Amino acid sequence: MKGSMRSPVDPFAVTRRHFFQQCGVGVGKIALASLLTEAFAKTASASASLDPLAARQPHFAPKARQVIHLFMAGAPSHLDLFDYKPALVKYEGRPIPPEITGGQRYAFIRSDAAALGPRFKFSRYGQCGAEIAEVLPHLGSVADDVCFIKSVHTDQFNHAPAQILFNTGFSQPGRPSIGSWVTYGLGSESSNLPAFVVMSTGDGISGGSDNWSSGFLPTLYAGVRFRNAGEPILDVSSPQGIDARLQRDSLDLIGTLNRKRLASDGDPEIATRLASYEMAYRLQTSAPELMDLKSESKSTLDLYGCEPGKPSFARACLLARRMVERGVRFVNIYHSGWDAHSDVFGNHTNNCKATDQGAAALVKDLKQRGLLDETLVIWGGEFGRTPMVESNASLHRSLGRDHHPNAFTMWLAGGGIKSGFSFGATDELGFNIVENPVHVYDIQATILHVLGLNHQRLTFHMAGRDFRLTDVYGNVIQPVLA
Amino acid sequence: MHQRTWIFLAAASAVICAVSARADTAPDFTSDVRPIIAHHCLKCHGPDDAARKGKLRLDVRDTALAKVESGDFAIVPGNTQRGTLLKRIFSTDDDEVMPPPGTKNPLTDAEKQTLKKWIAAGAPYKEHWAFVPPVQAPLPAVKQADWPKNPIDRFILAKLETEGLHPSPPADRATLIRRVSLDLIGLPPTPEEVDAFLADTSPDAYEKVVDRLLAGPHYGERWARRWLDLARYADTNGYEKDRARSIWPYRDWVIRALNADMPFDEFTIEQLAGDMLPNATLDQHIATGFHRNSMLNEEGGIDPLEYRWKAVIDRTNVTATTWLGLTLGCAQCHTHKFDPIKQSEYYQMVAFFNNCDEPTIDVPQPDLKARKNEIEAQIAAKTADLPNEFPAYVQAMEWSTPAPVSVISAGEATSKVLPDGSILFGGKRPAKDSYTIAIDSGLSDVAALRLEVLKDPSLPNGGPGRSENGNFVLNQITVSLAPRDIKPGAENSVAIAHAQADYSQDQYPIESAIGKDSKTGWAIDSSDGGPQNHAATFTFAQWSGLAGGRWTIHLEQSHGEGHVLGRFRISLGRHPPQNDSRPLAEQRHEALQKSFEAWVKEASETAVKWTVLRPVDLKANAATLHLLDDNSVLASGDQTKRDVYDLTFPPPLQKVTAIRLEAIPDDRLPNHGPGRIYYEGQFGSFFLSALTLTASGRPIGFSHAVQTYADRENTAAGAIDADPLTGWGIGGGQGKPQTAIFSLSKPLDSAGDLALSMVFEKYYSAPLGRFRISVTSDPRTMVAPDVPVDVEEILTIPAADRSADQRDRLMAHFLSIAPELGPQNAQIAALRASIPQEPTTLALAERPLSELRPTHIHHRGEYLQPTDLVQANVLSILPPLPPGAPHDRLSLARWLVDPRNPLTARVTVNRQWAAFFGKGIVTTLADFGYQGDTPSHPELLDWLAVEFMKQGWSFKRIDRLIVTSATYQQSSRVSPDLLDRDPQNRLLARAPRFRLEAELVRDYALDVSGLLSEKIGGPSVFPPQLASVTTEGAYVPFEWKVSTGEDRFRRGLYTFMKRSTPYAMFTAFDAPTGEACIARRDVSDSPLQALTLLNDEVFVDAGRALGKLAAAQGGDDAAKVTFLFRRCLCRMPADDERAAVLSFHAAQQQRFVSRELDPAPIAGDSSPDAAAQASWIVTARALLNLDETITRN
Repeated sequence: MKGSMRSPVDPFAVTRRHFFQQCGVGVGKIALASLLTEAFAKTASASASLDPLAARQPHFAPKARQVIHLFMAGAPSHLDLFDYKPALVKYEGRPIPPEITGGQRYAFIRSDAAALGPRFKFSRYGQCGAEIAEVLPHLGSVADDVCFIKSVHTDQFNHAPAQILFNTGFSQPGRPSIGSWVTYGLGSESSNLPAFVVMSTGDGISGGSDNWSSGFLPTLYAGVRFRNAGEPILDVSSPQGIDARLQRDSLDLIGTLNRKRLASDGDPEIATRLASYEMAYRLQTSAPELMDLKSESKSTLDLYGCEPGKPSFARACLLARRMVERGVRFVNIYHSGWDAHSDVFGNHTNNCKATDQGAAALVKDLKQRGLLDETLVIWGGEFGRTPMVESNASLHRSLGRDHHPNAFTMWLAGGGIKSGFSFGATDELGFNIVENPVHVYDIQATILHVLGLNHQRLTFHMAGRDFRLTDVYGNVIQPVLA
Repeated sequence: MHQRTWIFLAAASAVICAVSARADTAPDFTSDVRPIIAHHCLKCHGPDDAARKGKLRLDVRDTALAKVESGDFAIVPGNTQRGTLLKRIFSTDDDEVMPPPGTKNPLTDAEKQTLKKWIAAGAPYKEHWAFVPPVQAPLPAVKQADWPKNPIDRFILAKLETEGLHPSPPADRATLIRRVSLDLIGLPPTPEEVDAFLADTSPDAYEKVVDRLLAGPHYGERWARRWLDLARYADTNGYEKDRARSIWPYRDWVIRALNADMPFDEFTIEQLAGDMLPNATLDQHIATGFHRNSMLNEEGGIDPLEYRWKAVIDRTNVTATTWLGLTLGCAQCHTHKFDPIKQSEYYQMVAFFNNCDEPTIDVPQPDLKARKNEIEAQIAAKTADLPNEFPAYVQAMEWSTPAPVSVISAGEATSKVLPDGSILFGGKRPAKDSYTIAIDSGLSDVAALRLEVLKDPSLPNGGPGRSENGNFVLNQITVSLAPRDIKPGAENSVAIAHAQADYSQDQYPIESAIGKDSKTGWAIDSSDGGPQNHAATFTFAQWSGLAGGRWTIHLEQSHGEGHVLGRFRISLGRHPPQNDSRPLAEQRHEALQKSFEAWVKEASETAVKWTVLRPVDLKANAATLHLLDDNSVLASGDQTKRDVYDLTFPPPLQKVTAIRLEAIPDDRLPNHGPGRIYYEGQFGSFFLSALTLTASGRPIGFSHAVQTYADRENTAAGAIDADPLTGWGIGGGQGKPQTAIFSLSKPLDSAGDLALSMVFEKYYSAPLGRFRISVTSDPRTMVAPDVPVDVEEILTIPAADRSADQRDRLMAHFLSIAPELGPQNAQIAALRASIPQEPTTLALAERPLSELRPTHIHHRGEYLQPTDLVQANVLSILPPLPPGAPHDRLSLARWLVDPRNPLTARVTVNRQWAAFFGKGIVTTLADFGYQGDTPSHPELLDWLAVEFMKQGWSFKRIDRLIVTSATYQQSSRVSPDLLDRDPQNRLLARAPRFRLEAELVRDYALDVSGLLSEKIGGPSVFPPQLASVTTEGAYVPFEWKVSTGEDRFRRGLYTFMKRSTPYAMFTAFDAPTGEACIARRDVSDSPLQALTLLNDEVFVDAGRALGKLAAAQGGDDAAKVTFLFRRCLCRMPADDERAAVLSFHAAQQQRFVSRELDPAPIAGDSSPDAAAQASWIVTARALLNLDETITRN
């Protein structure tokens, strides 16, 4: 080949200037140029803050570096798992006084439905004496590492809008999710894996992919779905018949021709494309390596209670640990199926069986590896469930509970959060919050806070204004911070 | 992040300042001062009364110069010493300096100086540029006079010359034809088209190409996709369920309109208010689908009014973004922080969109019309011919039961023939079985076959079937006959025209045993009352002339586990010979009359006389109830999860014993009604949960209820029990009249008013759409009516008093149900079922002004917090509606495209410009307000806006103007110097270079590999992708049924757009989901895109097809490389490129030939050519992955 590939334009010099001058618009276009060459990598630190996926400084010293959000889609019942209300037993079978139920809108029941007592026995666990339903024994065993917030409330009483609100700060699709905001704010610490990963088990998720959408942020910040069936990332495997050497040769040819074009046309976008292809190639190796649980000890597998080849919530939890070890910034695991309009007992027994051990094992495993301090683990759904019973013969429902936005329980563990602590309280029927209400916006503000981000400063300008995750709301929940 | 915004502004203003802030002239308010005020001051000192601090408002000169709260003046024109504004911005005291440090939005020194100079110059204000109507300025003078090709170039060049820059040389011709082809039609030129253009030396060679592209059918497809981004088009409803919807006729309308170059003003009016145009055409109704692309939440338990309201909000915001380029949505919650738009004005705009109904309309397809007419004519002819088909004599069939000569069970069950001629099975009981029975009979003219299924103590549960509960499923019966005089085996199949059974299990009708679908069948559940004998009769299509012979009867039983027949008997039937010598027609007529009279007599005896009641008062909690001429009631307007209809009737006749509720279909209702369910449930059905009656205020009790049809257990009785959760539902019975009769516990003797209340309550909205109430004083026990209401009414008239029309109606009904005409009516029913279903689309329909929905301001934009009432009106910053014009949606649409509106033409040409240059003259395509970008070439934008209107709002003319400019035809290569001077290319000293949009990336690969289908329009298609994309994690897993044939390879805009789980390849390339209005797509570059291009099935298909084409080319390897370059890049390879590709190819070929690598999976077959093909396939694959391939240069 004739001449230097960099002639007549030095693409790297161009790229740097281009970063400085253009990063205000279309920031996604200039992904990953820092990965281009060794030579450039040396100078990359100077412009690191301008590479959309390079690790960036937070607003202030963070407590946590990464987040694993266990999203219990469908909305678990606070009344049956965490927020023990003996008064419900007393009221069982009788309507709850209208002055409590007020003008609340319901999805399925009428406001004069009768109260329903807790479906499970509760016990006290750990030194902190947390009161937890017996159907969550594994959680009980890590009670002293966990912070319960029993006074979360939301604005939405239907699944899709409430899930989307929890994840994006707005009840309709179109806004960026927490994971996207965090990736946008902090960048990635892995050049071989996506910064924001999504996994799911259980039923389908009402809010669907809007829950991990990048909204109006560049698509680059969207959650990347790891699939349970087939290849973990779409198209991560080479087509049938193409071996590693052919893939490498192909990339080399593509690279050669692209570099030639970069030299003649001078468009820094071409440099970005070169980098994308290299990362794609690395992803083809790193994704299977991540999914391969051979290196995990039997005791670890037993701790989680998972089988390597079989998709399960527990396996997703173990994969999440492996991801954060490898620099993934934000992991979402959705477990859907908590929507117990009928038979809370049966539904929650099954869902607890499916999730309890994995979630608790994750906390233990992170702790024993010294990762819990820098990892925030979040567990919770999109709203709570009514103290009133849902029964409807024509829908074949009995002994269930309807959607309840006024109060529900979540737990947080690790990075920057108090452990063995409980915050907030509901009234004697678990209907309304009577102490320390925490809106989902406050949870969002707190998640950003432990990562060193000020939720009021993490903004994106669009359509005439600065948007942020917490809209115009949100307060960091100071009392739960360690 | 703030930092990001700041850098962008600095970069943007650097260019502008360089142009305008020369020497020490006073700063220009529009380009220099307003942006500073807008970004730093207006949040607290702007139009929002509530947010204003210190009573200082800076966006309007009068208030800016007025005394502020402190008693001082903020600005004293011409005086830089006195006003507090300058004092505060130059202050170093944190408590005093403006903007306050807490806002993290400080002014730069340059900005402070600009404000100072501006005040010194007298603080002149100018109206915001975008709100001043555009005018065409004289074309600027330029030095390089031979460069401009049209007026666009004068503006561009003038600015370049002021900046001391020069335009780039023209792009080479191969690049140019590829560029203009991709821009205008979204597809690359063929190598032949490139050659023709390169060879054409005429001066207008380029213009000829442009005109060809503009005139071609793909122009509309390319530009429709961009418009659909704004329209937030998708093929599903969005949210949780995200079910499919049919609105593709709207997409096709856009393609047609753009291909026809429909003027943009018409294009606008038809989409926003086509339904309101006088004598609106079907197309104009279809066009209103623009605003039906809003999402529909079908989640169980939602408040439907909340989501209707959200759709109206969405329509308002999308209209503002698309036509006005205003961020109107900001004013939903509070008065706009920056633009002079009050919150009340926002809701005045909402009011224009708040008065629509949302119908689904049929879209008759021209290509179906002939077929439809033909079938309807056949039905009419067959119906008219029914009297001539009536059997001439009506006598019982004569049956005989010849003994079977052989019985074969494919499943090896044992059988024996019993003395009565029946066959009993035993022994092995296979899951599925087929029986073949042979019978010899000398009878001729056999007209029917009878199958009697018989109980037997030896069978499970007593039979007649062999399943655990004694049931069976007969999936198919076929009959053949071998006449005696021909060889065995030469059987003729005997067509069965009609099947009848004395009993069929629900969902297992006897007809299914003679249908083509072998998955269905006849069954007889014997769960209640023990085993029963049943009989089915199969009437042959043709019997006259059938001679005797060997009958073979084949009984197919393939349902579930062992649902096979246990005992049955087969008989043959023929009509007895007749001895009537009268003409056949006479006999026929007599037989018909006899049967008819018998039916009339019987039916008259059971007919009930009903009196239709006309309500004097109609009320509903949400809907509007209209009384129609036939005294039926039609509901329209809003609906909720608990709808209550209250009707009052004058005192009815005495001794009322029952009331009748007719649920009547109507084309104005979803799925033609009779119900109004439009989400979650079965569209067009309803659920009546309670029906109560009071007479003179006294509650009246009911004894029982019957109905024509009920959706499983949801019978009418559920509406009169005390349980609010039970009720009458008719799901599955939509489109037909349905009737319920509620019998009173005792006859009503009161003469007072009758009040009827109906409650429709479910976790989704389920009210009735059209209905009518009648009463009777018939003392008999009411049974479900089996004749239509009008027929029943005629039957109650004494025979002598019936008019000729009424008798005809009775006869017509009789003919449609006469058992003697079963086969004929079955044929008519089959014909009716074969009428092709017309597709439907979603449209808007304006409600009359008399039923105007009130529109309120909503506190903080919350649905549940309505405050003051507002009337529809346009924004006060823009010209008013013409005097006398009604304040409705049509006026709004016309106002948007009124030439006096300063925004619409500017916003539209700017978006068009951005399509060709990667960014607009105003980069914020959707924000022309105070916060929006300042135009890089304001005079050019105005010139184009006016030109657009002058040219009759023609997109094609504006497009032609743009692509024939010298500016457009420049090279896109960029020197480091130029990149440094103008990194964003706002001055256009070169052509832009950008990646193709998602759909076009795919279209491109399919096109160059010869796979792309040219078909335009039609229902959306499902190209291959992994099934898990639409199933894993989806609330309702969606089966992505991969299309076959050419539909695998249609252009991207025909790919089914599923909002919650979009087509994965498009998502990777930044395609929108259809959930929001998108004026400008993001253009990202990610490793996932690389993985897609390298590994996705679509690109594997394309690589394989293209590689095979290359392998099949004549010439040496170098020629094949040239072929691939010409296909993928529309140009010849350079020497070093060819060398690199050849070397790659040689290396791979070596591996394939040596079988180090198996070529078969790559080539898709293991032919001897596989190695040669595979090596070209992997080469083609590499070229399809080049940056240049997916980039428009």
